Amino acid sequence: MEREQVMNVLNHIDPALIEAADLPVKARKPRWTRIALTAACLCLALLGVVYAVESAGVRITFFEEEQLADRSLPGYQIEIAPDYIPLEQLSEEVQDYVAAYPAIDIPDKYFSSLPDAVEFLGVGLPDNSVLEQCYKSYGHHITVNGKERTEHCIAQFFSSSEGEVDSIWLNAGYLWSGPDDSGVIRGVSLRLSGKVYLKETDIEDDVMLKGGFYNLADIGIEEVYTTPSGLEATIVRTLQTFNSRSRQRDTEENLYSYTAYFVLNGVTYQLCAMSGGAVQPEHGLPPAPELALTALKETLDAFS
Amino acid sequence: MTDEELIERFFARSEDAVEELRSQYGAYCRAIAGRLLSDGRDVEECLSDCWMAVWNAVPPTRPEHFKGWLGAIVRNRALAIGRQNRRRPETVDEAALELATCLPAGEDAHAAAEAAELGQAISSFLRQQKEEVRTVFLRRYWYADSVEEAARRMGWPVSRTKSVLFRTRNKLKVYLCQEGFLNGAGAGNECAESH
Repeated sequence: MEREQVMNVLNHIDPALIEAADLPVKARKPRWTRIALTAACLCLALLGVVYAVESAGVRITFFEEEQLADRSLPGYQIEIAPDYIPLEQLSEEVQDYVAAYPAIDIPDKYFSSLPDAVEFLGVGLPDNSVLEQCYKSYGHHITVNGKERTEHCIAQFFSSSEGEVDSIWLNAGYLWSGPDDSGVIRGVSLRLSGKVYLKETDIEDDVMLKGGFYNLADIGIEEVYTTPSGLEATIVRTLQTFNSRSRQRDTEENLYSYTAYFVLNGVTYQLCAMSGGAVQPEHGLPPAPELALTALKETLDAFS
Repeated sequence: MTDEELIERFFARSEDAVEELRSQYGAYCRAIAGRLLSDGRDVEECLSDCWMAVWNAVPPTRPEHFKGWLGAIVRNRALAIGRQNRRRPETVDEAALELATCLPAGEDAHAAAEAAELGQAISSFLRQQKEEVRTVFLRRYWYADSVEEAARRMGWPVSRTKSVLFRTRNKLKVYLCQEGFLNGAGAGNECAESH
């Protein structure tokens, strides 16, 4: 249909609906779903007053030292007000895959590339030229026909006690090669996780623990970042100092990570950039924190 | 002043009816015209024409939903002026093009009747949706808000707004297929794609 015809058609919409659409929008109380706990660990530094920050559909709550002393609580908790995409709106391929197994027993599915995984699900993740150029990290070990191999991207299916799949989780890892094409790894790892929520549940099963023996020295909202294409992301900064004795080195190293939380086409994503060690002054690169943040923003910007 | 009282002023051919109309709905009409026209002079011309149009229409017309009816007059006039002067903000055409993909191709000979019928079908479809979906759809496609403006109004992230609009357009396409609007020449493919 031509543009002018569309405009003419819209003029025949019920005036009552037109009028209602101009009324103030009732503030909707979001139904928050916890999606991440971080650094639930034995030694936690002082974080200060509890406060919560909400932006772009993401709420992050920071806990007091007294609560942390409980040792069962994280440094911060992240919740989102998710969009829900019913299974029948995903691809036929994933619908057939889910239908072939009991909901609690759906095997993980592996992919050699994130675009393959996205196509399998039928969700609309735009191309990303930065991720396409990154080295893929193959962190998922699987055994097929007695042979072991590693895969780059995994899709996992979660179900509620009602016996239906209620969410699908994508995860893919990369190594960011920085501005220099020499191929030297700059020490920034990127991990992109996406969660497709199929339906509301009352069960808080979205817990991703970053465990480990970390001292949480610094944590906070870095910024709410908007890319040139209008994508909004809440970036959380974490500086963790960890003891490397387990690696047989008696050193302390700083691990800088920035995690961007955003929603794209109904899918909730976390993009984490981690940079560690005394980074490469000989390559003329900025020190670790800026490098991780640079890598993160460059990747966010590249979602077309 | 209620809408009923304002309408009575027009029925009584009261001299201050137009002034009351301008006072009560001037900002609303200006916002609609301003969204559809890029030149301030065109906006003023549009509003002048609309006050006259209301004076001429009421009576005998007694609109049940006065604000919506008035908004349609303003919109119609603003689109005509924009067409005539070939001046119109890009977002208006963008919104129309977005929606065009889920509407049937019109045949000129029956365009007027088809437009009214299609408008009623879209209204029926919208009544079946959640209020927030209805609102964001109409803000984007009738009021010609940009996606960012619609997102701000709804208190949503831009990405969520785009996502809701995308899914609603798809659902509209399915609905129009089921109602037989997308079964003309070349519509076989359209219906197949929507499933």
